[in-house]
Amino acid sequence: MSKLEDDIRDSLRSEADRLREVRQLHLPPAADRHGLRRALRQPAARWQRPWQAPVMAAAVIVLVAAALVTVKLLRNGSMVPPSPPGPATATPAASPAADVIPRYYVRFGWATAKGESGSQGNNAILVGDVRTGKTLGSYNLPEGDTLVWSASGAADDRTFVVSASVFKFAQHPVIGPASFYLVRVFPGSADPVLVTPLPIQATPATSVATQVISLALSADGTELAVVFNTGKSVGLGVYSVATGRLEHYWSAAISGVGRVNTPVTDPSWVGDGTVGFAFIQTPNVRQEVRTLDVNSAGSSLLADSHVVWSQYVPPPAGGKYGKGTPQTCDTPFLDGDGQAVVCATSSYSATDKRLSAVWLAYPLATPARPRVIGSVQVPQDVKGFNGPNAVQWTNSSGTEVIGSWNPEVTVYSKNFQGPATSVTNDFAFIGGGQVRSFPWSPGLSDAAW
Amino acid sequence: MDTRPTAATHSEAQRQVTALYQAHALSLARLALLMLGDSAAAQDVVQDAFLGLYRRWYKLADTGAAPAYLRTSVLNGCRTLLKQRARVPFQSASELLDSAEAALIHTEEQRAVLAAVRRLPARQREALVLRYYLDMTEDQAARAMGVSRGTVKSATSRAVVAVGRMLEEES
Repeated sequence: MSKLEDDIRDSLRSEADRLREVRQLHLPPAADRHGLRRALRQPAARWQRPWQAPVMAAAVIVLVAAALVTVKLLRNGSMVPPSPPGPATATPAASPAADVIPRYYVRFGWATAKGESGSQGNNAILVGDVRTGKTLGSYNLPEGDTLVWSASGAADDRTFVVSASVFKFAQHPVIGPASFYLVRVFPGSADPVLVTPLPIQATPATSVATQVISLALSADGTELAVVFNTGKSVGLGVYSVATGRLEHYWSAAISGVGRVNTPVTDPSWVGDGTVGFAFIQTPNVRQEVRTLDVNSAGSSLLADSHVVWSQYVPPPAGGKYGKGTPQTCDTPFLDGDGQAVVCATSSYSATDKRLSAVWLAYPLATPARPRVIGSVQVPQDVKGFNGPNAVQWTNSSGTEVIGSWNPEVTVYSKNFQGPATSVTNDFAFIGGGQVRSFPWSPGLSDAAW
Repeated sequence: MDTRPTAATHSEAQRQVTALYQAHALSLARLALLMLGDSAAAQDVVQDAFLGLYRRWYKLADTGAAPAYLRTSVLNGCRTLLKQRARVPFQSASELLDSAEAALIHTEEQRAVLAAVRRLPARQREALVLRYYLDMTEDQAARAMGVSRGTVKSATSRAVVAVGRMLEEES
């Protein structure tokens, strides 16, 4: 047998193995002889007539749209009170999916003296409305060359916590200390954004040289999980938002690992007693999602946490990653129900030579069978993604996400000698079998929902 | 004599067909998946085959032949569906999701081979699946496809050559 025949055999077996289970057999009841006859007469295949496919597809879309309209806004695992009536808004609000997308977001940007976002001014926390793309308000932050920042929202879509650290460029850059701010949104009021410094007590998270990596605000907005990198250790602290008191603290020793490569990322809350986080052992190759019981004793981030999901993808021979090389799924978040890990990855179709950004949910009960939440196939001229695709937000059941991807295109301009690379920041709401791109995205790469 | 099925016959048929389903449904669904490239459609075809078996259960002279009957039904169902698709090009949502999931599971080489196999004419693809996935002999494949041994041999040979050519064009 030739190598090609071996390859065909291996490929067919690999494809067949993808199917791990079949749905239950539905036979007509034994006693129901009329039912049996009905079953015999009726063709059971779905697309017996070609015209049924588009008709059924249209019916499914209508049903999904109707379901989306009735779905209540869920965030970080809790139900959200209905939004107060607001002014009529533009584009995405008209779509049914707008009802399940969190409406308000915070981001880091520049604000002018009048509080409007602009290209000149001070570092600021900006609060925006995802439906209109407009900035509701801003809060100027202390002077600094650049600010390192993180943010997270509560379930009510009105409460956020932001951390900001001054980062001064120098031969040895100066980082921190970090400050924390509570951001509250009051839509429709004269002063729709209220920002107050949080009294987070002096802890490793607020020390000079400590970098805050990411935050997770609990669904009720009362507790804050903070992941930070001190340079010698990676820590996860849980703080009371009301008092600023450090309630729990776990850490693991690391050495000389920069912010970008901090192995602990993507914290999330399951209920109000469990924090999930990702532990990236080897980027692109091996990672885990672990949980910590915030009410238990212990201080070791790894010894006191439990692995609930893990992924290992062997590195390619030679270590060179190409467009289609499988790698681990990025930004793995444990959903608010604690039932699935939601993450983002990419795939490459050799048939039509196009890349896709793909968002997956791995049920903890059946991790070998990920669900595809949705995917976006990019144009053929996209040569790759600039940085990993990401989950920016997920609902509590891990069925809907706000996803981001950064396609890279080679452009040729008269003004440049030779080719240049153009990168766009794309965002979309993905769920219910549909992908809805945001009509605008500038600045959203720094946003948190 | 009244030969119409009784409730007891139905009950026995249900038990037997359910047992066969548990034993063979997954392997048949995998066979249909290779033919169709769409797991939802593959499962539909398998469900239809078992429903057909249930309908004819009391007419079966040899219930031991049920697995072969099911495989033939599944292959027939796949052929019918492929003919319908050829008339009306249609890519279902599950097919799109399948390809996204498959992209994560297969190596780059396997994805290229599978893409080439999917582009083969239905008969060549069937011959390839029976010979290389089910490891059937040419005689067995000929019986399953309802064609001569020579047809199986030539279809398989042409399929392998076509896959090789498509892979070369891709690289």
